[in-house]
Amino acid sequence: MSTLIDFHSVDKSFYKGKESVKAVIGANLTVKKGSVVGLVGESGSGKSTLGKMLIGLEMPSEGSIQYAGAPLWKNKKFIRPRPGEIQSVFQDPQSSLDPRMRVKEIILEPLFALGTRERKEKGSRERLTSLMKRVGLKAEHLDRYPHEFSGGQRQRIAIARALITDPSFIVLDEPTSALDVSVQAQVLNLLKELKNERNLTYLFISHNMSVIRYMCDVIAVMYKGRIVESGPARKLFESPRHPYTKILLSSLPSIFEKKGPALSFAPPAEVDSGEEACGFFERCPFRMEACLKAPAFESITEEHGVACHLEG
Amino acid sequence: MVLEMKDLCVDFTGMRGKVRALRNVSLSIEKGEVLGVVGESGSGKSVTALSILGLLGSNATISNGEISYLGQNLLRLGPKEMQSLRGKKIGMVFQEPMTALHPTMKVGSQLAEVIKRHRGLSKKQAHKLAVEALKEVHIHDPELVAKKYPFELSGGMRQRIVIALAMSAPPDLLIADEPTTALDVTIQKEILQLIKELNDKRGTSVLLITHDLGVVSSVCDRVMVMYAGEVVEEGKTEEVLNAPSHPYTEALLHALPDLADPEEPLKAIPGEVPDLQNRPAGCAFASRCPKAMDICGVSVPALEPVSKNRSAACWLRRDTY
Repeated sequence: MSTLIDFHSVDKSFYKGKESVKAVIGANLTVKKGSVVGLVGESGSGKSTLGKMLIGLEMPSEGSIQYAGAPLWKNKKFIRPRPGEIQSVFQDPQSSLDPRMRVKEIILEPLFALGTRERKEKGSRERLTSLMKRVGLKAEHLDRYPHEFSGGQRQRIAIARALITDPSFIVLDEPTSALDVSVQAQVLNLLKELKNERNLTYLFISHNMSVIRYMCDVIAVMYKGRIVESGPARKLFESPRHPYTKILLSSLPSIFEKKGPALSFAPPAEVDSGEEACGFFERCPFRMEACLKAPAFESITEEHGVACHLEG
Repeated sequence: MVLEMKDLCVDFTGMRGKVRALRNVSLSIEKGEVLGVVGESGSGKSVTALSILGLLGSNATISNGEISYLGQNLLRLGPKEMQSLRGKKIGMVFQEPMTALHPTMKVGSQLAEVIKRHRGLSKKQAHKLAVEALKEVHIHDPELVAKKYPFELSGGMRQRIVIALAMSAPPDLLIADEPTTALDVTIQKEILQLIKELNDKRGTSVLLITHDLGVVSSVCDRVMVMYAGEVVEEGKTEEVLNAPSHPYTEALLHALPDLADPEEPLKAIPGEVPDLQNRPAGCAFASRCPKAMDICGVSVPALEPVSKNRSAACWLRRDTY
């Protein structure tokens, strides 16, 4: 599989007056074509910021992001590979669909980025109805408004809107977090089928480990802006290496038996860790003196890497 | 028995007419027991909690049933009597801790005010107890946190404070409506442990409302599964999750991605929860049920015992016990 996206030491800082917050720090991540890469981490860990840099909503402060070999950001400008090449689906279909537009208008809107001929071609009646059917909606739904649909149906509309331009890459930011379990399963199945049918590549952002495990080939775990561990999904679940990944897995309120001993956060550190320290120092149950200097991200195997002194 | 609800029916009147949100819901909680209520959105979980607390809006009417709390019929109480019961005898914890706390009042003062009111203490004594209460919910450095405003604290800390508030009276029953839904998994685990610990230590009964079967399995003694305003199954948590009696419980468990093989499609439940306005005749789950029979579309099955500790509302389970 060839590389589609390559993050190279990407930083993102947000400023407010003289203060600044680093939302993403030194992110390195590769997304292979046709794969599903999952981003997990607690709220505020930088998952969504990373995703937003791919769709042009946030500009990286440092580092480079390559898409299919070409840089996505150049001189503070977002270089769109091809209109509609990259699409996104967000968490809350209530707020990501314009309440005053009919479903048909919503789905066709991304086509305005395209040339007239292509727009006509891609927005044809047959194409629209077959897309509606494909995502599990009916042709007569096209003239309705978003409020007439349930949460699951609205998310199907958002998926149809993302697919109308024939993208090759979609950022899915918590696409099922607002849905009920029974509906979540339907939407996850749909996303998986569409990926296989259309040879799509996904960046799947979620805080739900079970969903991530089910959907993704590769997982990257984020903590306070840093990718602390990344690797093949199965590897990460079977033998997590970073203490934070371990805690995350043992916190899952699974209905099934858990493997391995329960692990929790340590009480806050007494010593002031300073700026140099590992981001997880404050709460790591295994912290030691060496951790006052942040560990580098290092590979354990070709695909599996971790940023922790314990794995040195 | 701390709480007993019998055949409760709740109707809401809206622009499109009357909707029955709860249909003959019965439940009971023993002293020191944790009862979980699970279901999808619109299944009636929260309405169940609100009707116990007497917090249903003016557009709701309780058309049938009774609720008794420590032998007292709650539906006969006036608004003033309910007011003195809420918070003092029945503690409440809701999903969003930021909206449950006063934004411009220091955490310690909020707690002290509640303690003062419920226990009739002086300001100084109340403040001392407030710091104690913070310690009890495992807040490091309670003196310092007592001087902070809610916005200065993390979501997990806020929820701990809400729990401290709810437990300060102290109540005999704690109603927790999705207490961890807004929190990260790692924090969720800590909060659930805290609720369980307070339940063990003080013998407080807990009614825990959640949409997450994982949460149920980690803290609840018994579980009640709701669908479209009805209880479809009820029993010991372990038994219900390991061998569900109702097809809906079974389908819900299979729809979880927790143990699913990534190579296989998830076993999604087809269709959607029925619109309560146009509730189908017969069993509400029939149209989505893989085991539906002719009778299911015609007649509503009652919730009846199917084994020693278990009840289910399903025609398939009739006469098996």
